[in-house]
Amino acid sequence: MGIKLTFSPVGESAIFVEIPADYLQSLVTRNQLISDITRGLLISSPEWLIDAVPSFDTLLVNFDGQKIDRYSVVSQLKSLLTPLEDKPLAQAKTEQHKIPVFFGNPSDQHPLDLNEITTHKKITVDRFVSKYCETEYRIYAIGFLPNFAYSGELHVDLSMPRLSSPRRFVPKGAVAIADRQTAVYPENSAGGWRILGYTPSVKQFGAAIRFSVGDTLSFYPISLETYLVTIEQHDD
Amino acid sequence: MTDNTLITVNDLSGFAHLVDGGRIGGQHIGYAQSGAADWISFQLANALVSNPLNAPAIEIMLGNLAFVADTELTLAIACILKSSSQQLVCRIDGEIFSANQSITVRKGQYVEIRPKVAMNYIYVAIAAKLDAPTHLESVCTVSREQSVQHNNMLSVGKSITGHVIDRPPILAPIKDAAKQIATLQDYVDMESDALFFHYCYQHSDFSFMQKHRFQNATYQIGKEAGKMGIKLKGPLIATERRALLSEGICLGAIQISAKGQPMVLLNDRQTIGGYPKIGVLGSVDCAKIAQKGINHSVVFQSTDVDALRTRRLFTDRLINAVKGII
Repeated sequence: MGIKLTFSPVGESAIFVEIPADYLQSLVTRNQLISDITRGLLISSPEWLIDAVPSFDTLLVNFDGQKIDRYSVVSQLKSLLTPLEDKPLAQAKTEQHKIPVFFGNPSDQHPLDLNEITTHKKITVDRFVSKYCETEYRIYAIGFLPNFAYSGELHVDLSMPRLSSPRRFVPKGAVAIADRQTAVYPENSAGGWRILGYTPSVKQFGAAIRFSVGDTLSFYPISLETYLVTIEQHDD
Repeated sequence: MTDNTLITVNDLSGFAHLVDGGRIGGQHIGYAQSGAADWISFQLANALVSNPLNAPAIEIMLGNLAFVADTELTLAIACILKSSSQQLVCRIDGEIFSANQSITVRKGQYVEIRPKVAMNYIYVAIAAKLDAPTHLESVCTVSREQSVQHNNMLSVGKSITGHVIDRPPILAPIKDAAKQIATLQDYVDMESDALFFHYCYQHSDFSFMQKHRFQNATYQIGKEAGKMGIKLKGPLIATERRALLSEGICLGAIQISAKGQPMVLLNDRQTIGGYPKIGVLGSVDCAKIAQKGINHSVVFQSTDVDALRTRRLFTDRLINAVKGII
């Protein structure tokens, strides 16, 4: 059985690659396939390729329309799949990132939704934090901002939708959730995810690319004192 | 080639920075594509000074720019809008000259670019290899990306440095280039309200009636308009689609917010997003909508994706024809 994918033009110089709903049910498997195709594409680096934008279970391929037409792009993308059918690419080296979080707001300038969430869920903050920290989250996509890692999946009991209107300012280091996803804001930004707390390690995320699709994130709680000391060390 | 400070900014209102054709290979790690918003005017500016079409140039947004030439330079100030011939006032030492042509400026001369009405984007190309820091092979700066250390924004007192390219003087009769530019202006028709797009992405989640409404409505450019995207005012478009996993967003994608408001996503858009998209504008139409001011009207006309490509390739050909004359 071959790999089933659909290829659709989106604009005059991009192809949107999707996995049909009836093929590969698990999101992890779908994400892995997209990750493999992306890697294969980036390694082969055809001269017409401008960029490949993988996400959870789709891939956007931007090409140079002066060098190639969309039919040839699809044909070349299909040829990339053939080796994957026989032998999937070797697993990319993935990393496990352990992220310290102060589950609270270090100052009045740091908005927080944790108390509202736990009130809504009728669960104690301690229980929520413990349940949130016991899961290892897979990075499904990088986007929105450099190094903003869409990770999941959050336990269904902890899931909350985005805020009805986004905040104009979310400080970098905010650890937040939206539906069944979680992420760390690597930079100050607007944003509509609900904030659980703050990591002091944000400089590591903002300054250099560290996260990759397939890596895992896990979180552990720290005290306000540890948060402040760590922030101070990073500022030195 | 000669090492030099090329120009020093003397006066600036609005916003100006260096741009080029955009970044290559950064979207999969979250960096926006960026690049000149009105790529047609930008490439025209470069064509007029015989630069590579995607060479770095100055993008002026909604404002005036005045600078002193620190050495003898050939430059071009370009805006493809037909109204630019009346509205875009350029002066060298007080003497008016027309945009959309190449001009030689002597050391110490004072160049002013002062549109009579607000113009979204004006481009200044210099026949030189600009000396500017890059990220992902591009000089572009996206304001929300604070981790990118370089900053190619212009400010009063700031100089642009680079190497003047010694080329034979440009001898092409101005009228020949002007004729070719007029053909380009007629073809892209920046002043018209019509924007060509094709249905794609989640278009099948929109009913026939909603598509009919989208295509037959007149929308206005909203206040929230910039290089990231343009929110439109007008009839809301409903979709049954509730949940969508975030996915890659291409240039010109027309996304529909939860409230039903259309938004066209442009060069500095985020790389992935989770709102449904009804279609994608052609790249010529992306330049066109980028140049439209707040409250200007637009209407969406659907076409085939191959027609969009043909329109792009023909526009490329017309720009190259200008370069060929120069």
